[in-house]
Order: sequence, then structure tokens, then C-alpha cells
Amino acid sequence: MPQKIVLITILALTLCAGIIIGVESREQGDPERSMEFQRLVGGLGFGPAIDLASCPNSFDPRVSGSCPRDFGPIPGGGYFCPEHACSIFYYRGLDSMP
Amino acid sequence: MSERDSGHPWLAIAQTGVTAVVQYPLRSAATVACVLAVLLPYVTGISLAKGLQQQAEDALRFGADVYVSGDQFGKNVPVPLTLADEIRNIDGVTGVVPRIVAPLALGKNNEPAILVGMPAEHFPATVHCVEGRLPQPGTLHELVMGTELARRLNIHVGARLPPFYHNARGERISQVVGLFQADVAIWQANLVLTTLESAAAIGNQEALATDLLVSCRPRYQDSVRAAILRLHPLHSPGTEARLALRATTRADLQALLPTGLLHREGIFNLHFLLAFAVGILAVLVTSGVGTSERRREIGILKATGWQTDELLFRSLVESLLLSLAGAALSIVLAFVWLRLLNGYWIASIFLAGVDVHPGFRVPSRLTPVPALLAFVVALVLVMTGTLYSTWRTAVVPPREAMR
Repeated sequence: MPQKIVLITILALTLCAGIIIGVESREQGDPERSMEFQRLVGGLGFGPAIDLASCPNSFDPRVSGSCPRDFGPIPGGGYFCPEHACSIFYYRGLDSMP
Repeated sequence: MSERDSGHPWLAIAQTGVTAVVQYPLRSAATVACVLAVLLPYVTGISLAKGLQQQAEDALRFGADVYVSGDQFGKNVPVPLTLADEIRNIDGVTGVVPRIVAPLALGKNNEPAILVGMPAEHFPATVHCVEGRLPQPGTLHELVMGTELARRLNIHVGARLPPFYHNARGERISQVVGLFQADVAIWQANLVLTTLESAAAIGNQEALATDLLVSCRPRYQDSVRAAILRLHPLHSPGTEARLALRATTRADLQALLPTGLLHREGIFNLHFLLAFAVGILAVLVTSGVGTSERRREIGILKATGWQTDELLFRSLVESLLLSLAGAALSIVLAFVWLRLLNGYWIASIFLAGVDVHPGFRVPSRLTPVPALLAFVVALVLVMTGTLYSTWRTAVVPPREAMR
């Protein structure tokens, strides 16, 4: 009997996870509001920062084409900036593009 | 072993795998906890990254076609507003809007904010993304604030701010006429939107814009960009220094977007480091190192006629169930954490400058590929712990294993 309970619990959890992924992957957010906001500010914001204090490049590469704390020639210097060392949404600066 | 003689021996062995999960609840719980410790930050991070990517794509799609700013020593610098007229004359250009984007500090704690100034005529008559109304030119500087900033400063619609800037022509009082809705985008959090004139006065920089937003006809982006870069040399305002121009197209920005799960930086480094560190513990716990009960169990099963492949299959089923439980639980918990608890604490880890309790809707999106990857990682982790130790015990004589 406990085996059945464990098996049913695991299957129920898996089903829940499947439903969550199914629903989330189809969800498109609220494009109307997003469009309205972005048109209002002329397209602003790109990275995981919400202010310009730490790394303007992580807020928006249009505001700053490169990370001000990028000490590239030093080994590991590209990761001195806390926003770039372990960023959830890593991207290279506009200046580093060919 | 009557089940094994009933005609479905492998099914019966699989059932004993379920029994093994139940028989040692502490070991099973510890294994699932180890898997959760590895996967929950990973699934949460990936979900946040996907939500952020969706918002970044919106920012590109609904933004301008070309962004023009000045360039000196590799840094973005403002351009004179007169440049807008020159760009309007370029073939293919349908509109040019000057914009000011500048850092700002507000309040007694110098809360970081981002001042954004746009021409008042650019604002639509009504919007749904703002609670209140949009700024208009007038005697007061009218501002629309982001949710996180308004909460930190304890500001509501209608609040008046004493002058917080210095300008040679004198300072004016500002009034908050609106607040952004919390769910429009994360970048509204610390935004202060106002008219171009007010932003110029607050920044004490007249007749300048930090960038010009250029709209052009379809397929004209590249030619417009080339024409902008060919414009006659400008001079830095107030100096004789030459001012180079920088033109960034939408395609340039799209090229920056991470290419799926294959990019190796950022959260993935953190995840693999975590997986490695916690995975060692998982291996120790699940393999029963230091405990004789698993060895004895395998020895007894061998003594009663079980073959090594049957023992390995039993362990495989056990591992599969434990990893399935761990992966599914991590997805459900990540969903609850991000959607129902709005990323309480975890959002401040992944997003810079965010409070423990975020003042905006944390973006998130769980997609099938990361979920599948989470399950594979869980399975590999648990199997590494169980299969190898089972095989090592299964190949020794039962008498030694039971000792």
C-alpha cells in the first residue's frame, strides 16, 4: 500500500509539473501593455539590471555599449563586474561585436 | 520472490524498486533534497532568464529602428538636437525622436533612478500602463515613476518633490502624476519618465539628447545607418573636439540575445558548480557509503538468487523514481516561488538592484527544454550515486556483502 501511495504521489507531481510547463510555455504575457510601455519610452531595457548604478550595459546596451568594469586584457577581467560574472542573462557588449 | 515467477519478472523487479524507495524513507528524502538543492536554483534561474528574454524581445520589437548617439573614446555621449533635422532628410527615414536617459539619485538615501525624457507630443492621449496620467509641459516638472522607486521613496500619485537638482536657470518643484503598472516590464522599476524639456532642465543640459530614435521604412535600416555615419563631422557641444556618431540598429541588438541553452556563461557556470558541489553529497548519501544496510540488502538478494543485471535494474527504477520526484518537485516549487511568491528573495539574487520583496512583477517562463534538462541532470546525479555502488556490491560474493 505505501508503494502505491509513493508511486501515485510521484506521478501526480510529474503531471503537475507537465501541466505547469504546458501552460507556461504557451503564455505570451501581456503584449499590449508591454508594447504600450516600450513605445512610450522608445524601447528601453534589455538586461538583468534595473538601474544604471552598477552596470549600465546590463540595463541596456543602447545606453552603454560596453561594461565599464570590463578589464578584458587581465585574465578573468571580463568578469570583474558582478553583473557579468554570473549573469542570469549574459550578453556581450555592443562594442565587442565585429 | 513469488512475483518474479508470475510471468512478468522485470515488472516484478521494477516493483521492488518502488519498495526500495519506501523501505528507506530517510535515504530517499535525502536524495530528493540533494536533487532539489541542485535543480531549484537552476530551474528558477532559467525561468527568470526566459521571462527576461521575452521582455527584451518586446523592447526590441516595439522600439526604434536605429538608435543614434555620440561616441567619444568609446563611450556614449549626447548629441545636439539639431542633428535630428539632418537625419530627417535622409532617404527612408520616417521619424526622429530625441530622448534623454540619465542616472539620477533621489531621496535621503540617494535611491538610484533612471531619468527618461521624451517629447510631450510623442505621448499618446491615454495609456493603460500608467496609473494616473502622462507628464505634460507646465510650470511644474511632471513625473511618472516606477513601482520600486515609488515604494522606496513612499511616493504616491499627486506627491510633490522639492527641487532635487541644480540648474543655473533655477529649480522647480516636481509632481508625480503617474506610476507605472507593476507588470509592464522590469525596467520600469526605477524609471522617472518626464518630458524632454523637464529632463533637460533636471540634467542641466539644454539642447542635447542622449540618443535619437530613428524610425525608417522597412528594409531601410542598413542604408539609413550608413547615411547617418556618413554625415559631416560634428563637434562636441561647447568644444572644438570632433564628435563621432554611433548608430545601433535593431538587428545589432537582436544579435546580442543569448542563443538558447547553448551559451556557456552566466547562470550555467553557477549551476554546474552547484551541481558538482552538491552532487558529491548526493552520491555519498544515495550510495550508502558508511552504512552497511545497502550492502547487506544486496548480499541477501544475491544469496536468494538475484542476478547482477536484475539488481542494477532495481536500482535503475529506484533512481528513476527519485530523480522524477526531485525534478518534478523543483519545477512545481520554482513555479510557486516565482509566480505565487513573486520571486521573494531569489529575484534579488539574480536581478541586480532588486529588493528582497520585488516591487514589480518578476518575469518568468518555464519551457519544456530546461525542464527536460533538469530531469536528465537529476537522473544522472542519482544514478551516479546508486548504480556504481550497487554494481560494486553485486559483483562480490554474497557472504562478503552481508558481512
